Amino acid sequence: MAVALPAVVEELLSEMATAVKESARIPDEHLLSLKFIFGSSAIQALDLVDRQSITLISSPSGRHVYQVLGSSGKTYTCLASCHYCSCPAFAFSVLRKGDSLLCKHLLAIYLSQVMRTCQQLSVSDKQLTDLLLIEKKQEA
Amino acid sequence: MPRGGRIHSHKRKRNGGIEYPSFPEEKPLQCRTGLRTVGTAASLSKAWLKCGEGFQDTPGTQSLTTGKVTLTEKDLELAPRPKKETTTSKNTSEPTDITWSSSGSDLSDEDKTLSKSQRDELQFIDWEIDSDREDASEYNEWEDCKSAVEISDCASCASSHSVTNDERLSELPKPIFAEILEYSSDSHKEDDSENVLFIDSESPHKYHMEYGSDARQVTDRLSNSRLKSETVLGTPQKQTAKFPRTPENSGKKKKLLRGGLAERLTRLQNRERSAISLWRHQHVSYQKTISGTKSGVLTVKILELHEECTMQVAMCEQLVGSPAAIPSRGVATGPGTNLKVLFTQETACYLRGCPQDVIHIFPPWQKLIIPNGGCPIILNTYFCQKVFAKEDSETSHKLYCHDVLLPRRNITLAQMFKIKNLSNNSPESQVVYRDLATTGKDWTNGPEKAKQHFTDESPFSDSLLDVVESQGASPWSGVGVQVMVQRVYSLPGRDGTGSQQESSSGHADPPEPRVCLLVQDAYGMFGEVYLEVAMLKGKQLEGKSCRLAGMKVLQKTTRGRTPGLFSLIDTIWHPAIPLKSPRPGQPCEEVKTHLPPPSFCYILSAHPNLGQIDMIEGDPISKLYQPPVLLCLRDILQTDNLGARCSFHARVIYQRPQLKSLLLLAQREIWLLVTDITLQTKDGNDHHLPKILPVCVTPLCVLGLEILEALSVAAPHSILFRDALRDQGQIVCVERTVLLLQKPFGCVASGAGSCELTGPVILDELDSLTPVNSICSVQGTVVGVDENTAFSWPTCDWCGNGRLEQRPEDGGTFFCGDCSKLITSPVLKRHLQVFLDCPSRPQCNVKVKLLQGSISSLLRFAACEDGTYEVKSVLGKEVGLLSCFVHSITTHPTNFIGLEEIEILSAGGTSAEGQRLPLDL
Repeated sequence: MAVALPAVVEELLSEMATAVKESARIPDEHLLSLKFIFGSSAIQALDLVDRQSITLISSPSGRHVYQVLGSSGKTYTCLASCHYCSCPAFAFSVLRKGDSLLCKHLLAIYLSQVMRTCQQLSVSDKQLTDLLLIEKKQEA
Repeated sequence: MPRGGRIHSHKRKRNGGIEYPSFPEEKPLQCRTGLRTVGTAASLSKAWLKCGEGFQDTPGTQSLTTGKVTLTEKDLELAPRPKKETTTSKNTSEPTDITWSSSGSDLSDEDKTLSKSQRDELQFIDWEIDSDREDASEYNEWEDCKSAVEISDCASCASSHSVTNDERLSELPKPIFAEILEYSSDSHKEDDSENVLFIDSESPHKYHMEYGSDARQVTDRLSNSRLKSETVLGTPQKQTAKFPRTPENSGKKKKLLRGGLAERLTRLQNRERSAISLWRHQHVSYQKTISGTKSGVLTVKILELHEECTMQVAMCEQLVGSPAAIPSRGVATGPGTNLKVLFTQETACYLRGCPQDVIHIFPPWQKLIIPNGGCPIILNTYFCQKVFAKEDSETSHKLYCHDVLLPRRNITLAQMFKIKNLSNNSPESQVVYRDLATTGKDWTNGPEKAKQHFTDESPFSDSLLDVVESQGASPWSGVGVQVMVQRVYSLPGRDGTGSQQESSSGHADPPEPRVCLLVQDAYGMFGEVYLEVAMLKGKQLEGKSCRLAGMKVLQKTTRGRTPGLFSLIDTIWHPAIPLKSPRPGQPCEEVKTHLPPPSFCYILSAHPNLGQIDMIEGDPISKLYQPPVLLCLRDILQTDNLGARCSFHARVIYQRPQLKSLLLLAQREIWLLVTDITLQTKDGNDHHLPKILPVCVTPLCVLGLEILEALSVAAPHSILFRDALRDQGQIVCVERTVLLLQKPFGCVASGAGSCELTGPVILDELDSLTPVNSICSVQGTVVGVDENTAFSWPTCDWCGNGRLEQRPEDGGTFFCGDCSKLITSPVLKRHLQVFLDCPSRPQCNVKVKLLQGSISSLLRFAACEDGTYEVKSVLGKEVGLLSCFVHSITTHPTNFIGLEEIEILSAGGTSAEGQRLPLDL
């Protein structure tokens, strides 16, 4: 049988997007629902959105990655297209334990899309490649 | 002033420790001895919704703490087992009634027959939470309770439904055991008792910015309010559980961005959790905004359960609740509908649901409709209660004994969330367009938006809290609130708190006092409104209902921060009429007048131009007005009501200091010696009561010009003291105390007749109980003269001027500059302090500074022609019944009392000659 949670999250995000579009304000109950589903990550993700910490980096080839400036000052690279974040919480809670649907950075990315507060940055293909390589080196 | 400081600190301390009365109507909640009715839970659920602050004091309700958290009450719910399985055909009406109205009497027979098996079942109940709090004896009491049949029906069992209850009871699964579950969204919370009782442990650190003041201050304030509510609840663990050092908490020191969504969410949570929100039925506002949650409790039967991530997903069949469809979304729901209910890990942990269980879900649940075929999802299920539907006790036994491992459904990593409505043209796109990003933070809750949101419903709210919540720290635009003006008073100007003035030149003009209104809304919420003086325009607002508009919240204050304000609120509190119940459909009686006083109050400021106060005639909330109750001084002194405000009418017979300057008078601490007829005519029973009472008027008490003028002339006044503070052994006029010359209309004089003084004033004789700053009468024998301070000077025999010029050229005669004439026979005035031997204070050194009249009487026969006198001739003389002000009383190194003879202000404006016998030679 199908899982319910992704559909719930998707619908909630869609409703939030609708609300933003219609009234430029997210209703209280959506915020509370967010908290219900994501727990403490919700507030952290909202704070990231508030601080405009999310940047969409795109290159002419059509590649795009998100960079999220975490609260610790560290930058995490997220690939929303394949649902990946480079943060340790993602590796642990989402990948290993399967306890969470998202880490706060990925949630922040979705929320920033909803709020339309995502920063945009266009770079060359080379730059994007370098960026991903640096990321790789850091991890190694 | 050290004295003032001391008094103040006492006051603070006391107010901080105010104990709240218990909440009479919640008595059934104690249910320690085996209340076995569903009605208990009904009252509990209502109490939940009604007033969170009422849950203090009673041991059984300790767990109903501020954060909308409720814990398992182990002996809360016992009810007969079901007769048969659920059929829902008749259950379409009023789900709350069906769920809760089954009265105890309906159940009593079944209870009797089933009590045995119930107890058996209950052996297996896992009381993990309560084991820390309930001591063993109670547990035994409960376990051994043979009177399980005894039904303590409580008021909330709707007896009028008894006929239908029978039907319903036969159809519905009977609740055997129900748990009230804890709401905690803090996923890192542990199950230890500290955390169980401490609800929003993370919250004090989060609300760094509220209402725009300095963040640290706000944190302090919130901590204060946090501590306050803990005090209210009286949970024994509160001291240790103040700030649990969970990893999450330590990370929470970081401040959230002001005005941001994160801050808003934390505030929402705070609101949802705080006790006052409970009291105010926070969920009502959800019902306004969310369709589909009109009818409170949702009852579902679990069909299937599984886990996704840490959430439990229950496929449920809706039994009752929310009969109304959701017209706005075009999806009809109602009994029989399938729902998916999500539970957080914590809720699931306590709920321990399993298929076929019947669950009550209490507001504020929310429903999310998944388009394209999914069944509705129920979220925010923080308040759930299980009603057992199992026939087989063995099964439930097993359920309790073993944690059921639920099937877990893993969510594929390929899951992506497609956000519809993100853009019109390409709903599939995840790309955020550049132009959209430039819109920045327009979505934030600016005042305009809030205004729109608000005015959609009504321009004038009757709830102060709603308006404050909707407007935040920004100035109210286009909204107003209907309130009742309980008091009008002045507060020292913003800079007049003392520190700045003293540190600077000391001669700075005192800032203009602010006019303040203490207002109360129909729900009982208080607010203090700072006004421009011009805004009053001479309007008599007190006792009237008004519409306030153009206000701005300055701060949310608590008992700890403004004890003075709360001493006044406490005095006014007991509502004269039942407060409005914020929950629609809930009868007014449900909100009793026995509510504990609020723990916080909003400070509002009227905008200089936009602020508006319009009186409303005939509004029913003006009945909330609690005029000051005028008491006689004897009654005030005899009631031990420290920290409360009192109002009385008294005659001022002496004042200290006696200053002619209005400005100085307004800035100084003044002692007024007052009395009324009840003190003057006291009988032998109340020896401890003084005949004259010192009243300290602190500089914080803003005196009107009329009073200042009256006090600057030496004449007796009858003054109405409104809302003076009862401090230790004395009455203090502090901030929010009002002194008036006339008795205004509307004051309630208690007791028969007036306390007006008629005859001459009698003083207490000096004795061991005489306090400093009081006045007394004294008589005794002169045993010594303070020769160091004794001196004499000539004065004008015409005008009394003491500054005479001596003119050597005129043979040493005196010249009065005021009268411009030579004084031929100057009047010699003397400064004389004598030591008395007083029979009333035998071991004490009593020094009296005498008035001229007494000096001349004393020296009448002792003085020589040239004005000198022999000390010996004065010694041994009796002086008697001098009216004296007590300057100082010391006990170390010797017992010493410093007195100054004074003139009592009497009705005629002259000294009370009958009291001050000149000399008794």
